[in-house]
Amino acid sequence: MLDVDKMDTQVIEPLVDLPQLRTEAFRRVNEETYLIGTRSKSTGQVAYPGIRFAYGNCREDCEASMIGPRGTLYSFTRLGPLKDHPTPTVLGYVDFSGDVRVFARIRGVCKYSELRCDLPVMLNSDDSDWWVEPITGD
Amino acid sequence: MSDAYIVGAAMTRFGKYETSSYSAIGMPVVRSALQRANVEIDDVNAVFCGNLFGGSLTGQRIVRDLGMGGIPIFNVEDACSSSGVALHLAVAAVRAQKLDVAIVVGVEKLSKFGGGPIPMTEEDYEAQRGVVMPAVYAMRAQRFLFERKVNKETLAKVTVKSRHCAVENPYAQFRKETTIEEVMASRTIADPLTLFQCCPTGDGAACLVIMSEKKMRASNVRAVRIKASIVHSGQPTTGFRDMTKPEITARSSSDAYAEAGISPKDLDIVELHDAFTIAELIYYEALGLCEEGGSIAFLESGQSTFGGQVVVNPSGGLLSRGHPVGATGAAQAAEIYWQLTNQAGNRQVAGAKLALSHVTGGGIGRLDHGACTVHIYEAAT
Repeated sequence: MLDVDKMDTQVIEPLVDLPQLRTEAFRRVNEETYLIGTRSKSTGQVAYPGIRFAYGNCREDCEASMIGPRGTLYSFTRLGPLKDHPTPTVLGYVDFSGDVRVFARIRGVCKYSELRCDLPVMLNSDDSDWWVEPITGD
Repeated sequence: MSDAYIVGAAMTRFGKYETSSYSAIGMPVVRSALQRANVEIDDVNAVFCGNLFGGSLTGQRIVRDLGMGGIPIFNVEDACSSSGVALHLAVAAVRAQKLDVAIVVGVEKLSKFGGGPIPMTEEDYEAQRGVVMPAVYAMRAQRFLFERKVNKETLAKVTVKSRHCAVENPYAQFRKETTIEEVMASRTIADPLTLFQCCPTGDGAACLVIMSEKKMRASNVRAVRIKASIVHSGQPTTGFRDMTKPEITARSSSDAYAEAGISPKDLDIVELHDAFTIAELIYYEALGLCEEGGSIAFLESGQSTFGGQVVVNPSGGLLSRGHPVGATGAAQAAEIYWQLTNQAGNRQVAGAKLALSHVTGGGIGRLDHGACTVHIYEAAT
């Protein structure tokens, strides 16, 4: 028989995430760019964009975590030109330490043919956006 | 528990139908499938409709103009896996003896977007940063070429095979042979994938009639038994994922083989999700059709087409038959129904007894794919 006195009747509020998705979470420190993701205290899971609840145990223990500035280009492509993408865009997946993968725009590429999988890349940014660039001279 | 059978199928040719609504595309195939299965409208216990962009109450709009209503009508959306999942739900209901007769209809009209990649979900982070499905598969291909140390022309061979099969398929959107040179010369969509290495945008519908064993035995129908019906969703991760090893397909097919009690080597036909050329190569391995690392040799040796170990995509697959996304799962099952009942005409795979269909639904970040549906079918004696 249900014990109505012990029923959890707390009204649940949705998370507010849509403005945050459109606000790129990154920071410049000493001319280096870092992404601001999250790290779970209980599982160690690192995520970008950040997450509120850790995967698997749902604990609300994710705290801000700086990611970067160096990563490894797992794969990439040049998209377009297409009808809705008239300017070709170079995109890729970048793996950072802490086992976090980020979908990124790639800039600073002199020749597209110089890109390769497993290329070292570095985060960079301006006032409004971040991207990755190939590391030259390593 | 009852077995579930496909006892009738119909589909449109996949193409561009700008002057047809969703219900105008879907209703004729429902009517035709019912007639072919000798089923009256009043005999149908439920409708399962798969589509992605049809809007509100698509299933109801399709069957309304046949005077069908009152019964449960379920609208299913799982991206490109929508009608595959609709089939799974119909099969589950029939097996549980909740229904004797169900309609599964898949329908889509992508021409309304005017061409180009299909829209992604705006709320997803990667979509906001510019991802589209060709880019996802292009990155998969880039990594595959890097690890296997092969050139881009290898991918083009998949399209050549696909077009060759589609020549004999009257339902296919593209039915003309092509060459590696033509495929490579088509414009680049997302490097290394060229236009001919990407499934076309198009419109179309496919419908299946599903029956319980009791009803099937009392009817004068040609039947195909569904031996396995599996749906999985992708495992989310914020970290590393091997894009050349599609885990959702491997899990789903493994469970399907276990449910059916067969191994990949027993299959005569596979209709797999070749939305892009790279997909066919990695799915050969994930479905266990060849050993890990063996997909290129499997293709180049002819083992995946007529005369080989298994005929993969005798319909021409998504690359050539087309991919109106919500319709694809049902279309794969329709092709297999015709193949296993010896109704596939000039593209008939001789003596086919066992087949598998595989359709995935992708398009959000942190997952291999959002959904994967695998069915295994057996010719019923």
